[in-house]
Amino acid sequence: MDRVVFERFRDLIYDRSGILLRDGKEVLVAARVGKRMRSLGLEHHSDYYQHVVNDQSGTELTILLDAISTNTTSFYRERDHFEQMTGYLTAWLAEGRTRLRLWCAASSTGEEPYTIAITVKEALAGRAVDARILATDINTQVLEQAQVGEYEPEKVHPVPPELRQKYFAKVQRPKGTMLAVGDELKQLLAFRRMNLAETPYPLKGPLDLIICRNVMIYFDNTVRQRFLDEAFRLLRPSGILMVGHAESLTGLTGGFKPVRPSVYIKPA
Amino acid sequence: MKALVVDDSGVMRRIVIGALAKADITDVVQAGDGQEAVAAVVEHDFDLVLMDWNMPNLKGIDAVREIRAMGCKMPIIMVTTEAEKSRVLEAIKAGANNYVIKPFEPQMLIDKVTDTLARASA
Ligand SMILES: C[S@@+](CC[C@H](N)C(=O)[O-])C[C@H]1O[C@@H](n2cnc3c(N)ncnc32)[C@H](O)[C@@H]1O
Repeated sequence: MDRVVFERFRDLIYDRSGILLRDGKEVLVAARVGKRMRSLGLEHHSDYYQHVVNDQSGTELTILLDAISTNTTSFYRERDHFEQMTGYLTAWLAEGRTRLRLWCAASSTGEEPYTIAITVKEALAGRAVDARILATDINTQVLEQAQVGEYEPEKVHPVPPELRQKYFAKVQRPKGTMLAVGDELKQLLAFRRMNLAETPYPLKGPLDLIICRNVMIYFDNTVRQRFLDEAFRLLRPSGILMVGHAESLTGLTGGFKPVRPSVYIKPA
Repeated sequence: MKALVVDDSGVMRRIVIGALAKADITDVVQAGDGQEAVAAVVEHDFDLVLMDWNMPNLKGIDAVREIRAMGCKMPIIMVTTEAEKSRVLEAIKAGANNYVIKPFEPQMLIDKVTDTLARASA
């Protein structure tokens, strides 16, 4: 892909999603849009760019962003976050809270929000509490996969065996045995497409906890700041924000106070 | 069956809710403008949305676009005084499934609701 065309894609993608493609990502972009171009019968990257821009409905842009975004995730990724989450949930329930609202802000194929759902279920231990988890992502394909909630057994391996027993059921599919997330977890969750670069977010607070991991690494500071300001607005006092371990928010956190690395609290 | 009724007029919302009750739909959430409607859709899973067009903050038609952009597929019925054909087409294009022009007879709204839900589940 030549430089000029790459820069156009880069600017468009940044403008519409906040994802910043650094120099040297030409090959990556070319590879990821290649398949789509072939199915459209387009030969030149510049023609594909034109096609994206011309599509008033925004569908092609969605397809482009789906192709560009990296969706790596796993159950119990950065496990200590879920241990801390258990701690907070237990404390909140002990305070007598009867309404819990959590938001997983870049939920990818569902491993992360289902891990949160297991954590919430286990903390509730049968208590009748109005608990909801919102899971959002910009990528429509991963959202659809997440809603189906079926995973290859190897993927579910990080889930402790007794919890695997409790919350997953074996289903036979053409590609083999899969583990399907049960309804009791699904009932806690709502999956919605949402672009973190577009503020204000269409959310009604107050939220108790926001977890947004391994997506800000793709944003520059402007978009990160936008997200953090919105997170601050939406959290209730003493609400918690968890970010990825690799994501340093130095100088950006505004009113947030660090509790430990990658965990922040909105002061009461 | 859970429904969202969106209208900036409380009187109008009551009329719509009254009609829905006759169709045995009693689990209803209300929103007073498009922005509230989008926020409600983020929070709840609705089986049906009834959406006014002209409202402050976010117009009904734009709320429909946002709801569709979030990946929600529940049926949406526009309930509006906008009667021109071009408006109806615009709403359908934005992602509405059906259209009711105000003022309406309650029975007519019930029929449209039943019809829309039947088509959605077909
Ligand atoms: C590397 S995955 C991280 C998934 C999960 N949070 C985790 O830590 O395992 C990044 C996700 O962010 C999503 N994403 C990228 N840009 C986004 C944006 N502007 N708004 C919302 N989601 C975005 C991608 O679609 C992808 O699913």
